[in-house]
Amino acid sequence: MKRRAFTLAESLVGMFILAVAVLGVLACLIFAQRAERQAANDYQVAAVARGVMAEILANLRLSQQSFQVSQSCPRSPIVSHPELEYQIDDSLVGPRSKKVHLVIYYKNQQGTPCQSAYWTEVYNAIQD
Amino acid sequence: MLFTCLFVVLCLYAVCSVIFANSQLDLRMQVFSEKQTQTELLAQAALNRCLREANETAGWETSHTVAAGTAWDPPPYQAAPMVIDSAAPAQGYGWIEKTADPNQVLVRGYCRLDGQCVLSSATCLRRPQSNAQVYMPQNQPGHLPQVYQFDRGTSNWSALPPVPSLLWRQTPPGPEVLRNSSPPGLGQPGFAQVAHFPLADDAGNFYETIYYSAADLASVADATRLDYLVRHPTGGSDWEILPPVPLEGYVNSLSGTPTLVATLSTDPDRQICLGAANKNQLIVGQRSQASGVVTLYRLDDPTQQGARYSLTADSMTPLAGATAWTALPYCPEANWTTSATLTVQANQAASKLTSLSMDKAANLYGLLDKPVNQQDVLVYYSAATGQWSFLHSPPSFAYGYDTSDRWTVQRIPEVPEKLVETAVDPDGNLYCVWRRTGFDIDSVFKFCPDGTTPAAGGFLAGTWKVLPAAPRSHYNRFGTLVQNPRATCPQFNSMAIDSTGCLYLKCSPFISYLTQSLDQVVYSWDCATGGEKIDKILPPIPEVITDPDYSQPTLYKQVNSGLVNSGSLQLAAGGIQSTTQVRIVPVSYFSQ
Repeated sequence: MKRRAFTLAESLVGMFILAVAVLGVLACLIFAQRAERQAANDYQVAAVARGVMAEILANLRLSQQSFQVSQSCPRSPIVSHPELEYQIDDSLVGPRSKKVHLVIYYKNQQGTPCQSAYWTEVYNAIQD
Repeated sequence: MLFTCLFVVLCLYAVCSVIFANSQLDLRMQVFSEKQTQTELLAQAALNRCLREANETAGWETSHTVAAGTAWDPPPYQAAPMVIDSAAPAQGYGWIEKTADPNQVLVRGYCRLDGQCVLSSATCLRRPQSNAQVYMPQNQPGHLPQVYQFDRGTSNWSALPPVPSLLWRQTPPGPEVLRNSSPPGLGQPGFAQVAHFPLADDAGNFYETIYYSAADLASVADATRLDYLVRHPTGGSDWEILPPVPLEGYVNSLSGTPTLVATLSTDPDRQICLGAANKNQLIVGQRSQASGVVTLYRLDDPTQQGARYSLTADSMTPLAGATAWTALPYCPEANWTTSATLTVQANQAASKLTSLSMDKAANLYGLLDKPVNQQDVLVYYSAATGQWSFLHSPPSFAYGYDTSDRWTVQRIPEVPEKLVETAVDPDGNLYCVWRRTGFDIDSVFKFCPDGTTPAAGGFLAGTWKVLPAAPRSHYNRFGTLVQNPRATCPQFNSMAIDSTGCLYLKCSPFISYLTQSLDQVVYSWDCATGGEKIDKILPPIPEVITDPDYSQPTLYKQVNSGLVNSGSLQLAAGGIQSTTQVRIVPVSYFSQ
């Protein structure tokens, strides 16, 4: 039995459906790539924030004298991550308690300046 | 064709869905990581706020303590939640959980922020509120002996008044002040000329031993002995003399066990050489110079024994107590053999017990000093059973530096032979220093007993740990701290632990060729919380010169020389522990 070939109309409709589908996949891929970059960027910001905060707390561990010294720092670049900047502001809320504010400045994928703010409170139980 | 295309499109749709879901997850994680970090920090803030309130607000702990194992969601918080961030909808909670150990608690901080919940915990110890002190006595040639006292509350060094030349007569038994003309022709100063072996307890008392020569006591025919223990209570201006230690000591015999044998009061063979103190008991060791055997004596309730001498009123006031010294059982001789087994001679009293430390339960740790090429022996005396046992030697670890110049601990094929110092912290852990033969770097070890009581002659069970290294540092004569973080402190010649559990290590004097002086520092390290390095250093000691005022036997002159003291050899640490107030101290001070 002789098989009939595709008509032009059939081929055009098929190609159109495939093109739409491929474009959808491409759009998805682009969106996924952007989202991944954004997530990685924000992960890095959060990780850097944890690291900076840990360093501040390590400095405060030294003694009651160093606890009284302000850890405040104006907006400055982070040496290990030059694309990021940080700012520290601390204040004593008691003779042995201190509130530490940390802001990380960065740019998102679109190049828009963004910032993430964190704070915590530390208590120095060292009996000097 | 159409069906084929539709099938392909269906497959592509499935791929798209997966990619899209993955992207959504990434985006959610992005928000999650930032919020999670902030929520964790706020939970830590809640925990630290909880610590602050517990330590600084009366009654807070009682109203915010729950039993162990209580469900925490919803938080078992007995008061309104703390609002820990007024700018964000964050709610923080803090409470204290009891544990099976009454001295240990769990401090919890809990925060809820935008659907994120984080619980932060810190294991904490209850420590008595304590004002710690460190003492460093010094015999200064040509001047009166000096005792420097460091108060951790004020971070200041000060000088104690000189020790009056107190002694104890035999007939009638009682204390007296010796007033010899020394040096001859310069009046009659009533101050002791030589003092050694500092001790401090956790009730604010400082002890040391003053020594006389037979010539000094020539005018006192019935002096009890040549050396006497004196005490200085914190905050007081007067020194007190303790009842004399009996002039008896263990003597080994060829047949049978060692017996206590008395000697003459002026016999210089028996001298007080070491000791240990807590607020209830004082233990001193009296060594026979001839045989090296040390006899330990215990005095109960020592702060009530003896007599107080007021320098200003020149008067003696007997204290109320009437407890006598009691001899402890002798420590048996023991030696490590080359096959790493301990040979114990139960019928021989040990010679050369060179270090003694006591925990709060009055158990003793000591060190038997052995000749060169023999391994020193660590001994343990149980106050409960009255029996001596032994400790295994510390592991063979020494300090070194890795390729990144960070200090490391390295195992070395060497047996720790020379142990030079011991000290015990308030939790009953032993610290000792190993001096490597042929090397100038001491290793500091900590022994944590497992709490079991060993059998007589057996071994105390526990584990050894190595403490961090101390960077090399010294003060020059003008008080400037000189540090070399790439080098390790070579040797420690004294070690003590204060009433708060802070370990002090005195570095062996460093010979400065520029200033022609011996420079030294005292490191401090908290036993409970530790640190990556032993790098906290006490301030320099302003040198004080004390001389008698020869015009009046009870007057003296203390002058600050303007330089830094550099000649102290020994260290003692103690303090005043409150019996009612406690502090809650995290095992790691900051919970991050």
